[in-house]
Amino acid sequence: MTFEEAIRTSIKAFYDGKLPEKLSEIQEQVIYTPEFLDEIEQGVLEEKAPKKSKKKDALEEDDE
Amino acid sequence: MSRQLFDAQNPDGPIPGENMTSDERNYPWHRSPDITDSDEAVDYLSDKLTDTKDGFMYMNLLKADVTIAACVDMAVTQGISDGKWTPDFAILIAGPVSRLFEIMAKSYKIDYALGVEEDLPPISPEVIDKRLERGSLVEPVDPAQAEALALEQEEMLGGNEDMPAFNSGGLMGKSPMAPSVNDVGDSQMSMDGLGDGVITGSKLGNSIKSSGGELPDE
Repeated sequence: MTFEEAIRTSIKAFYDGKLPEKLSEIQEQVIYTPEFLDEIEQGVLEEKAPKKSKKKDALEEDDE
Repeated sequence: MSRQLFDAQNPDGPIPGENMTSDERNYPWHRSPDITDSDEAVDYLSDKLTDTKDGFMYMNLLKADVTIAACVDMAVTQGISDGKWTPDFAILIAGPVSRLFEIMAKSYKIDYALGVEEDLPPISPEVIDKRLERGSLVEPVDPAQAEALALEQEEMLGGNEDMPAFNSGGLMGKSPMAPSVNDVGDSQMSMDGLGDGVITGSKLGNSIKSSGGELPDE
């Protein structure tokens, strides 16, 4: 597999809603999930943007 | 007499193990990566695409039928060469980065191709002819549209109210630090007292033209 193929495979998996399995082991939280990016897209396109700070606040509350 | 590829009596190749003695910090990718957190990497690329002309370049590439996957490849490979992340980490962040490109393309109403199909169609002579017909007349991103998007993005990213966002020109906006390169009056530079004193490339060129090829006296 070439690097270009790996990039395409990674993009395709992300669009299918899959995150790298081991990512959660090295990172406590992942903010840029497919769902979060969907929200951003919706906000940009509908001019009703979700505030990033609100998302962070929500994540911090989850931590507590 | 055939030429010998290797002269055992006068070797001129590297000595085995020589690589172990070289300075490992010669290139950025020889050092530890700057970024190891995927969210931090996406933030970095988001900033890089928002405040520089790289964003314009990628949007115009998308308009020229370059796929998002190819743009992502370029962007993450640039990060590798800058020592920002490792190649395997670049593959991990390819997904979110492609979504960023997609959102940008949609906001500018650019028809894009994702480019993740298993077998990409071969480039036929007809496709090349079609692209050559279009030439370089790719319609640039509308600055007014970019400015309108700036407000949306600042609101979306919840910028600090006390400290205005550095880039007030939107996603593709011109950095206020960028010097003017044409003769159109730059109000910010004039206010800073730099308007008349700074000689840009085109100003100098026009000045040379008007003086009949002589360098202007300064």
